[in-house]
Amino acid sequence: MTQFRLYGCPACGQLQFPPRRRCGRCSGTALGWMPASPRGVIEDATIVRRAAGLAPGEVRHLATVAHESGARLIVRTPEALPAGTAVRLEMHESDALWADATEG
Amino acid sequence: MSGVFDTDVAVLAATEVPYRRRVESGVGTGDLLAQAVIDAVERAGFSLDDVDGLAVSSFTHAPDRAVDLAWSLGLRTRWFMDDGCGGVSGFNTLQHAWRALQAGDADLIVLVAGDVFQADDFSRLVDHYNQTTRNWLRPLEYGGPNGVFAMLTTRQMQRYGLQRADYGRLAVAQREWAMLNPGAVYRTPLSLETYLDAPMVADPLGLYDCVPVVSGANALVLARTDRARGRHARIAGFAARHNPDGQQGDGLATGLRQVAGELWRQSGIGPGDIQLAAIYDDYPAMVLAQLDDLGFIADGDYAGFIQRELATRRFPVNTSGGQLSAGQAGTAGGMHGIVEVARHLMGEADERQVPQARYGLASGYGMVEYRYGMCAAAVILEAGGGS
Repeated sequence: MTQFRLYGCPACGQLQFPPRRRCGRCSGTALGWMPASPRGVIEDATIVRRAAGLAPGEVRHLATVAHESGARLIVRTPEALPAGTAVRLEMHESDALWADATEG
Repeated sequence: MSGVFDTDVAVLAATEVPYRRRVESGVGTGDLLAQAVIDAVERAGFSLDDVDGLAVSSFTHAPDRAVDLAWSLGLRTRWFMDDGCGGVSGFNTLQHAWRALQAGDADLIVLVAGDVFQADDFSRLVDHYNQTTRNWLRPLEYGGPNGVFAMLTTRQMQRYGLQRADYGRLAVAQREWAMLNPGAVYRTPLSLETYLDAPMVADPLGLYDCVPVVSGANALVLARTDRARGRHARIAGFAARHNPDGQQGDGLATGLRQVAGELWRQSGIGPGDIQLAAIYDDYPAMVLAQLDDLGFIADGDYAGFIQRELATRRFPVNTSGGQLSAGQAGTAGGMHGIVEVARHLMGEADERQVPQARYGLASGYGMVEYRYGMCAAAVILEAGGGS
């Protein structure tokens, strides 16, 4: 499995996502992709039931994940995961950020 | 100390090109914008030849810009501006026009905002709203902002102890106002039961929590107050704060929270002096957030405020029906509220007129970068010019 990465500031180690051009902590401007923990916790979730491109009955599970770094990430989940669920993050090739419950 | 920026500026006319679900074939955004400009200048009692400033807000006017619209209407301007900042576009252009008029860069400015939306236009807009959305939300096939604001609404419900029925009472009250507004697209009676039974869009948001997309345009004519030829609405205060927290908060407060004090100081009045308000209502949760940020809700008692002030319509909020019932005509939504407040202050609100309204407030909100809107602004208007 490829190493999970988030955008951040190599100068001070702060991760921030989505990518921005200036570090919110040290004001550094040389930001880039950095290895990151794939762990986080579901903070809020919703089930999108009506949207362009959704067939009747089809749904999308969206969630906000509190990443260990403090960054808040909007992700897809394969099923409804309640707030408080510990998750593992994965960036798909499409650049879609997914999260699923960690075992145990 | 007095100076150029103490000169009073007022809205001389406020108009709306009727919102509609579908436009006739061949009618484009430029047509609605042009109609709005023509109507507004006539209502202000001026000629198009008097207009020397033009600001255009639109998502769909491209490839044309303000100067192209000026050309097509034969306007010889010395000031123009383009803006596409959604829910604050009307506020942003007003802020700049206000100062330009005080400074003498222009003498009669028209602000216009509008969009013609087909279903495809809207899907494209939400997927490519900005680079962040295109790169990080579109790949999720996230279905547009409803899901994002569903999560924000959940946070607000938890923080303030709200139920779906509380938001329902707000939506029902706005529909009751809409029934008095022939210009509102959605005017059939709405009961709390119908609100609660409606299909869910993104839990906890149902059909009546999400603005219906329509086409339409709004315009405002601004000039220094001494040029007014009748009733007008003076700018008594203005404040804006964009990107207050880098999208690192929870979105339950807008930038208005940081500038509300300055707004009230400038205008010399307080929330209790405001007789009607138009609060940007992309979602009911955001109406409550802005009302709280501005100081209208005591002690975070959102549910009590809805029941006492909004559901009873004792405090008139979104008297046009708001975007939830009048419809969201793209960037016109960022001017719609200013137009509505100005109409009341000029005594032009017909059946829904708030009697003897002296002070009104309009606020705008929008430009979702990732998790919630970044932009917020508010203006206080005061009735002038006698009856």
